Amino acid sequence: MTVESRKGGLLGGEEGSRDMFPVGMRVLAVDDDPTCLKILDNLLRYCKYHVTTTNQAVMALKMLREKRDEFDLVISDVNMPDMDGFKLLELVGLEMDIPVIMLSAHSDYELVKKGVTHGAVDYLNKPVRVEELKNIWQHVVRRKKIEPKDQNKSSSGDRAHSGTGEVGQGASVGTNSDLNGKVNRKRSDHDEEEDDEGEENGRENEDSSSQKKPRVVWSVDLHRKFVAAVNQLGLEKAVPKKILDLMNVEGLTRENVASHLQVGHPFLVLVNISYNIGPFLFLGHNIVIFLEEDFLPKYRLYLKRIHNAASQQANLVAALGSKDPSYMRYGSPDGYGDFRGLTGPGRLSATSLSSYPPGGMLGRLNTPAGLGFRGISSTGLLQPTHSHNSGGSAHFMGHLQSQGAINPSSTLFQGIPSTLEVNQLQPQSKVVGAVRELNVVDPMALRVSNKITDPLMAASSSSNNSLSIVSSNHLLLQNNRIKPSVQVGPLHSQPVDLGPSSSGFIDQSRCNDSWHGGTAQNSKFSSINNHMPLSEPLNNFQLPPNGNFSSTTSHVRDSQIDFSSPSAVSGVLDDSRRGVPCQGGLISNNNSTVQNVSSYGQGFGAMNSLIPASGFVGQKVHHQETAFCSRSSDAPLIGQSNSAVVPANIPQSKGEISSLDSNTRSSENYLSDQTKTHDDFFQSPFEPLDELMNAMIKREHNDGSLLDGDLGFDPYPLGSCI
Amino acid sequence: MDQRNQFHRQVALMRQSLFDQGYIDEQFVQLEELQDDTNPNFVEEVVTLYYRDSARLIVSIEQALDKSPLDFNKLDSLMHQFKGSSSSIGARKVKAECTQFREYCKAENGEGCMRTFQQMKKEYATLKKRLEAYFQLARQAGPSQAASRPK
Repeated sequence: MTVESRKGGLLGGEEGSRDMFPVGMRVLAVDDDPTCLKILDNLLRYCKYHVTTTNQAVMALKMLREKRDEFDLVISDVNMPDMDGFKLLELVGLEMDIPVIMLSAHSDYELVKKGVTHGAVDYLNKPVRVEELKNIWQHVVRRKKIEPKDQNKSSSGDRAHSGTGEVGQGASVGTNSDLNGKVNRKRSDHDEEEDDEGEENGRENEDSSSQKKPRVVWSVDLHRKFVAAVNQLGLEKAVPKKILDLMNVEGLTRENVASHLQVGHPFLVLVNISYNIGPFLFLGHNIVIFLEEDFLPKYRLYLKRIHNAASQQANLVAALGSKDPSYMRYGSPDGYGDFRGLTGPGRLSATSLSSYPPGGMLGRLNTPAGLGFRGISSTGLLQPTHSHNSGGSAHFMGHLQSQGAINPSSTLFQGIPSTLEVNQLQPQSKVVGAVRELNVVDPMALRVSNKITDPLMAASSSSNNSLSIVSSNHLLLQNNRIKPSVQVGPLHSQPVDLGPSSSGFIDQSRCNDSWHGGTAQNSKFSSINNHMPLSEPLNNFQLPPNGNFSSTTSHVRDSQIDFSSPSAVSGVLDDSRRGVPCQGGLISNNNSTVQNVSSYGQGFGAMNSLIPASGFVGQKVHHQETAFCSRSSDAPLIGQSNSAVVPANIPQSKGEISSLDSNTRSSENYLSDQTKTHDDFFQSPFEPLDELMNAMIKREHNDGSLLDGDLGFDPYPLGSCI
Repeated sequence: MDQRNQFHRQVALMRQSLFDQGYIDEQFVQLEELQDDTNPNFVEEVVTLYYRDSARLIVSIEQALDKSPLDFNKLDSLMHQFKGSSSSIGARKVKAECTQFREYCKAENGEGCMRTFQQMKKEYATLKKRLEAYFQLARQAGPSQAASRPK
């Protein structure tokens, strides 16, 4: 099974052997039992992998941290004396986004489930058989594939391979399906979406077979139509078929719409756009959601699925920081939805989410007014291609759903809630602080409430606060553990302080609406938000020219959020003020939201090394302005967050943050300039971060351009974003 | 030659009986597959390592069993690891006892745990003897033989 394709750096490509993937795949094996370790070592070598072993989890982490790029896969025992295997799993997932396979002598359902929910790509039972190990490479490929790379599809039944992957795979597949399905706003759509999900999954899993339909690029216009159709139908009734009919677009298939719909799931949006770094979920460039610890693993899991772009590193960790359900107030006056329903630590209970008028948040997402997130992921932002990613998100969402927390119909966050238990993120205040500190030109920055958890929720629930995480950018940057209590404040067009008015996130007027339930107006935002928010933040991230982001960006890449749709979104946002804070992307009020969105896209793009964000950015440039503003501020955050990806490594993050600071600075520069220069920003969808930065800088000069709503950018190749 | 063949046959027989009597399972075969010219004594090395390492585990379990009241979680955890390594080398009977032990732990049946543990130790010791004899013979017979496996 030599997959010739050089998986984008999957194997580093430095060595010739890498070309013969999976031969030479670099595996890190961790097991405190010497017998098992020796056997595992030999088994892996037998499979022609390049093996490194250690019997200490701590050492393993150290190695991974130091040589992040030197490992493709980690296999770890569950029971280890120095560290719980699940913990290691989480940390690795958060920090490095390398696939981790769990090993255990016990295969209890609960344990396996725990492994899966903590992000393991597979769960093997001891004794391990060589047949199982022969297939583990698929996890690496799968992960890479999620990135918008044109890799050969290792359709060799990756999914189907199960020897080993039964548990994980099944779970993941199932999850994906669930996510996709569940993500759908309406359960009724579930069935309908199933097929799509399958496609999504297929796409996500890179099954070549699933690549049957040509990818639809959700341009701004297309997305706008989509959003309009959804709005018209109402979230509840927005089934792909009807949407398709309403859209009346030639050549568009139901599947396209369906996948877009899924993607558009608020959460998806959120997820798609965002990438997470550690516990921070960067939704868009300005939105950073700090995920609670508990949530994080799950979220990560989801995120990974959803958006590869975010890269292995920065899974968007929705930093739903607080466990305080109160955070779920996205729709609150702050523009956050009111997720009172949030239960549990930072969890967004599905119910709470569902409290949001389905049409509202989620629905809104798709609709312009909808939560930015929605738009982000699906609407336009995410290209169908991204559906994988989106699907990923969808998956995520779906998964969330399955977790019981997510209501399909609920807004974006619906899905999130349950899983979003951002328990981990402790330093929510940091996030908040981070946000505040950012002196975004346009306070698009979302209000970063202390509890990020809400942000996510809020984002979803609330209006366009595309995840108030916007500020998250800042937030994240600031602290690993910043709990994104970022409140997605309404994205006021006016440069409100980072707080509530934060850019675009939540357009107060709109956002609230949108968040809450999506009033129509939110639709504007939401759509925009949907698109952008995520993208934007990412852009911000991207901006930091420093390489720091590159890592994250790579993530972002995965989350090729269909920024392209931003244009659609932006359009929506247009109605509102453009001034909406740049904060990323959260969909600034109408205009601003758009901007935000765009900025998001940008940010997002930035985040993604793919830079697709730029594409995104381009979409709705006009939003950019505000978004940009926030973005720039966000960017720093993002940058930081990127570095802070590893939430677990606070120290690291600190270091990273400092490094980010430099980025931040640069991004800040951008930020100030950005506000207007979204256009530029988005121009280059896939520019490398540096280019993005440049773009951002340029953008500054293009103040006005953004507002006109014509993104001026080429549709953001969402695919790249995600 | 004949002597060698004789040895080989004996080794094969011994090996087969280990399987037939349920002392080892297909996992052992996996280990054998990993053995080759570059790794000629792999199986024996692993088994040796297993016995060395598991000895301390057994001591730990014994100590835990001596405590009162019994900490079933700890026992379970210890046994978990023991089971892992035992199953990795294909120690079938030992593994079965480990599984049983775990059941008793879950049921918090201290008596059952102790009984099972004693049984497990017996199997463990028996297997050790059998494998040692097997390896010894295999070494005598020649490396190629040791690497052969039954069909």
